[in-house]
Amino acid sequence: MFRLIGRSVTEGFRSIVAHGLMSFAAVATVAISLVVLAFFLVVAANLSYVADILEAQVEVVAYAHEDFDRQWRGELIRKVEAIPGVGEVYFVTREEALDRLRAQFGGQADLLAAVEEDNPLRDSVEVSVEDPEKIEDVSAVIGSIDSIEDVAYQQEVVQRLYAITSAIRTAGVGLVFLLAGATFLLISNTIRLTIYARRKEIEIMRLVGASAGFIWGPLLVEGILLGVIGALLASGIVAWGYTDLVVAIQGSLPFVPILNPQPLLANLMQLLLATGLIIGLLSSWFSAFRYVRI
Amino acid sequence: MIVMSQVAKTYGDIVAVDDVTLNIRKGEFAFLVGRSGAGKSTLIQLLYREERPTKGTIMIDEFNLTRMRRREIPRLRRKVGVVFQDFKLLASKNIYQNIAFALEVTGAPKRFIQRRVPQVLALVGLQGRERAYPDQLSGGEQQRVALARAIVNSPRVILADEPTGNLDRDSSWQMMRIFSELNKRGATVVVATHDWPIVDAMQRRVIELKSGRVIRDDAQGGYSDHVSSDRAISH
Repeated sequence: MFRLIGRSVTEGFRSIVAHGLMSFAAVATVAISLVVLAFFLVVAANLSYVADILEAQVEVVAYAHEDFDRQWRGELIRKVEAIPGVGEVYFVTREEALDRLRAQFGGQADLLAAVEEDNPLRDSVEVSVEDPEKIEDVSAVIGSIDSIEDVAYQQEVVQRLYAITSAIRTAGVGLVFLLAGATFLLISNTIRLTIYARRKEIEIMRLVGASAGFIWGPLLVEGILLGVIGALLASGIVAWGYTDLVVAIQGSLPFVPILNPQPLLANLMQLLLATGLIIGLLSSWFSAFRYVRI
Repeated sequence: MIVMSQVAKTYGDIVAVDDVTLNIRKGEFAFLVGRSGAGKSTLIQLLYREERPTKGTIMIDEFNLTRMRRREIPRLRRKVGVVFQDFKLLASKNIYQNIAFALEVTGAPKRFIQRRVPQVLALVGLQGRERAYPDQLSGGEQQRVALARAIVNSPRVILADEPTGNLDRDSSWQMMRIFSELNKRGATVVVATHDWPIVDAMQRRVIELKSGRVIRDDAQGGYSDHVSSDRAISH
């Protein structure tokens, strides 16, 4: 058994070297497919990370009636603070709201001009919620306060972000299935080439009573090696690329949330290696099964 | 002991072997004769389970070839040595490696292989030629290497499909002498051949096929019942 494995590995390696160009094409396809898979997974992981952050800081913004009298300001804050589950409460005057808008859209003067003449904004209260899950109940209670006309909260943004994340994941998986198909064809073709190159040897092996394992072993090893080498290549590219990206973003855009390379990359590499191995095994098994009779 | 009972092999509409019932006893030497396309090669292929019969049963000792599972085939092939017209040696391996290959696939220990290969080489008269490569040998020598490989696992049955088809007279006779020697040592030998002078001279059991059927089975006979002029034409 031990000798059988040893021989399979030696022969498998030899075959990869012998079919240099074909092996290279197969390895490259595996690597490209897996890099694409990794790209989608990294984007999805980061979006979901951002969504988590947003969800953790959800705020309810309660807008007062247009004719709200500021003398009731303290009263309103107290009422809101009294609601269970409410954290910080901050009163935003309509002037402050306009200032924020100015800061946000500073460059687009004409857009602001219309607003500047007659400030259409209203006074509002920003409320942080201790438990994001309770946001709906809390905002309903806030909405029932007399001087509040309307309540908005970021739940929708968060939900949309989660929806996008899952869409990207689905698209990624779909694309990866297509690429896996291409990879499968290339590896199984490489193995077919090996079978063709060694047809005489295989014929003699069958003739003198070699077991299926003896004949298939080197072919399966070759397929697995192609898959794993491709996966290692992809892991290298992804690890190097993502680490660089994180360093660059943390250096120049520190406020943009991005996942740390670890443990994301470690998990990703495990996944890539497992995928490469399985594709390599399946496609070489397919060729061996199909083109080598025992 | 080879037992074929009402064996047929068809490929689509083509009938290669048709209703063949044969008994070849242990230790027997039989020639399989007939024109090209008579079904000789197919019959040989059925006997080492390269082909599966469409109908009928084939038994070789304890092996039932008709009902055999795929993973049992290697065990049969180690007990049945086969030699072909085209030798089927690996050009990239030397003589020793070519023969050792048949033992390696069975998982035989290296030491046993080192002892066994020279033995069979001596048996076929090629002692000391271990390091030569196939293309450095004559056709007759290559065929003897192929035979050495076929018998290295000490098979009980030796099958040969036109073993002398590519050989000159002397080499052909040398092969026959080795087959006889192996037969004397207890192996069952079945040789499919066109080589009528040899069949005529050896006077062994002759099974003649025509269109896939056995039309003659003589315990001791020559290549053909027909007169020699007809034989020359058919040949």
